[in-house]
Amino acid sequence: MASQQKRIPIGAVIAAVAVIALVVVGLAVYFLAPKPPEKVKLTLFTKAGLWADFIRDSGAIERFKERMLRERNIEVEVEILTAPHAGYSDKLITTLAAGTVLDVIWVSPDRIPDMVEAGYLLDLTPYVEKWGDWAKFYKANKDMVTYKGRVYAVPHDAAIVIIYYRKDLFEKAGLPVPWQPRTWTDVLEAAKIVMEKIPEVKAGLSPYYGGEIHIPIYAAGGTIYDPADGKFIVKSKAVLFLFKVYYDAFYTYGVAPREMILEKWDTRKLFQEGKLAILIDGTWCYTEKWGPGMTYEIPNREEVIGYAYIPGSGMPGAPDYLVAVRDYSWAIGAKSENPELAFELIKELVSPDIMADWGYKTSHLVARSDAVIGDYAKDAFLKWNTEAMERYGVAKPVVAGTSKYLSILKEIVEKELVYAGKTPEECMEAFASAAAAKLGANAVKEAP
Amino acid sequence: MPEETHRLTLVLFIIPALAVLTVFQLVPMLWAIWFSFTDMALVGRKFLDYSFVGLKNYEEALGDPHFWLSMRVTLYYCIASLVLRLLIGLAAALYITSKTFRGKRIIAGIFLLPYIIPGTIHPYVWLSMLETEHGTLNMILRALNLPPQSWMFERLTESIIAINSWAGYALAMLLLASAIASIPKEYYEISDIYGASRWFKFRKITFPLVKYPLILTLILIFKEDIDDFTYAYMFTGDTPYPDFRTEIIGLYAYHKAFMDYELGFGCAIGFIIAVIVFVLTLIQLKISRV
Repeated sequence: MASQQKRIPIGAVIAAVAVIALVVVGLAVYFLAPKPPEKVKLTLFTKAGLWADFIRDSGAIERFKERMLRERNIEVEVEILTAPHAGYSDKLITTLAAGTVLDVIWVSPDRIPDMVEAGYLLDLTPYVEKWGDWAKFYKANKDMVTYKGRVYAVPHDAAIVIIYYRKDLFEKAGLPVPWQPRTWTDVLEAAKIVMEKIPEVKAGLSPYYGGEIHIPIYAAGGTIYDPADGKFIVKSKAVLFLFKVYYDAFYTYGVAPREMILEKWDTRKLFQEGKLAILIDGTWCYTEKWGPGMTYEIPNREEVIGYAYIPGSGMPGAPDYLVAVRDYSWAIGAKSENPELAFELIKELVSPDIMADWGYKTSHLVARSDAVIGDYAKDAFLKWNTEAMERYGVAKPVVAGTSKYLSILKEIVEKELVYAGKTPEECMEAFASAAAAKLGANAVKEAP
Repeated sequence: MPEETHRLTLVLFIIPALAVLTVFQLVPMLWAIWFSFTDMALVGRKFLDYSFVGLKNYEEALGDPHFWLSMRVTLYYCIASLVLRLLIGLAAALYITSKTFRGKRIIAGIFLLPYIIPGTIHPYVWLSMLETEHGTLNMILRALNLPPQSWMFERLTESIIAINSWAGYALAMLLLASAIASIPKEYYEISDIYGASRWFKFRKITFPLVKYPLILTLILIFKEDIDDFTYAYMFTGDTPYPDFRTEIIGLYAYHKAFMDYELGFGCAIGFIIAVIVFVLTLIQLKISRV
């Protein structure tokens, strides 16, 4: 009967409608509203001081963060970790050996083969192959970061090792300015004349830059590694020439005091003070050490500092001139959890404007052709060095064991030649024995 | 408290310290011992693919002329530091335990300062003081019309020994002072009655009665110095001098392991140092039971 029909309470209806409405609105918010950005943290490991400060001030990280938020809705935090310049590579390797996960790493290509063999670095070949800008990098720089056909880093800069000389001391000693030695004898003779004529000069010549101590081998037309059989050359006319050059510098001509090595003189400071006439060192010193506001500032450095190519030996097959090429690059740690993002950060760090700015401020050379812009393109010193690199540049072989070979060579030069005063022939024998012991007898050989 | 509950309480109190010791001392030590029997390197294939080589690292170390050169430098460093630390420490201990001098408590506090200042901070002060051209020490010598010295180069080893002695004499002072303070006062009172001089009292009373604590202090200081590292590293840097003038054995092990990346070899040298320290500790324990 109609009077007995039950009525649905109005409250229950309102409640049901409210619940359904809430569910619909909740679903709409979940699916339609913009998602909050994903948060990711990247680590960037580099040298403390000048290097880390430049990265912070360059704006590269801000640009990268903004781009990631815009393009991928990812909020990236970049944590800069640093190690001091002195012993940087060793601290980096110890950090990686301890299992620390690093995303973007500042590496010297010297170390790449050994670091790759230890499993520290990520193979970047798939990334660079898809990157249009990779074609703009100079071949020499790309070769230095390629090991066994695979790319393990992106070059950030290049530098060469050249001869610096004090124009004021040369003029006072009656030597010609500008000066370009044709042989190593020219270098030694010039150093001797300056020392004889100017008693205040403590040293005529600092004959090597530690990281490129092997330069005389290449100056003699030789090499340190034979790719045909994969062996390091420990005895040859070129290797003997190296020991002879250093023996002449320290003993025969006496233009490089032994104390320079034994007491670890600061040669860049001596050059600034006008107590060292000729110095073999890297392009970066021009600004990093002697530039305005730097530790060993030389006022009017353009008038005071001269620079020249390193001469060949004059032996058959030897080059007329040469300059040793080095660079620094950015790699990605093998354990990085965000390699794609890390590569995007690297792209920002090596963008043409950042690279040119770094090159101009620190006297490094750019590693890509489209970075010759702005103040960098107008700088005479950088222009000279870029041409020198293109004409006379020689780089170390990118093979495992190169670092160890050079470290043994340096040890023999310093301990056997400088400290013990052994003859070039004795030093070469000692080098061959030490290299065979540490690299393996099958990894070394004698060459003509 | 029942015996078992008492033991359980003791164990619970010890466990945290044991855990810390195990994680930060025992495990790394065992790991290092294991690596010393391998050809493990920090770079190259030998990082991932190292092999057990038995006693090869030890044979190489003991047959390496650089190892023995480093041991000679270490011995010179340890003996020179030991003598200086002991002499200065003994003199300071006699002073602070003497009745005669006033202000002993304040002076004792000042004597302790070098020991308290962290060993990674004051070397920087010394670096500037010992600098050849503008350092404080040479400025004083010039003011006295004396020839300035090459503290950072020709006399570098002696400089490090002096700094180590300056920083470390307080340990000898504290140990010897407590030994001197425990000598019964009656001995001195009787010698005063007989008119004994200070030197006589030192020779016949003080020295014989602190002989054993002195020997223990000697061993402790020697142990501390033989695996020392800080000052030599801060004054040497990452690469050794060609003549190994500051290459004490701890620094040599560090350079081998972390500069040449020969971790296995470096660990072998470290273990040799550990064995020397262990033997010295056994001697120390035996003497302390006498």
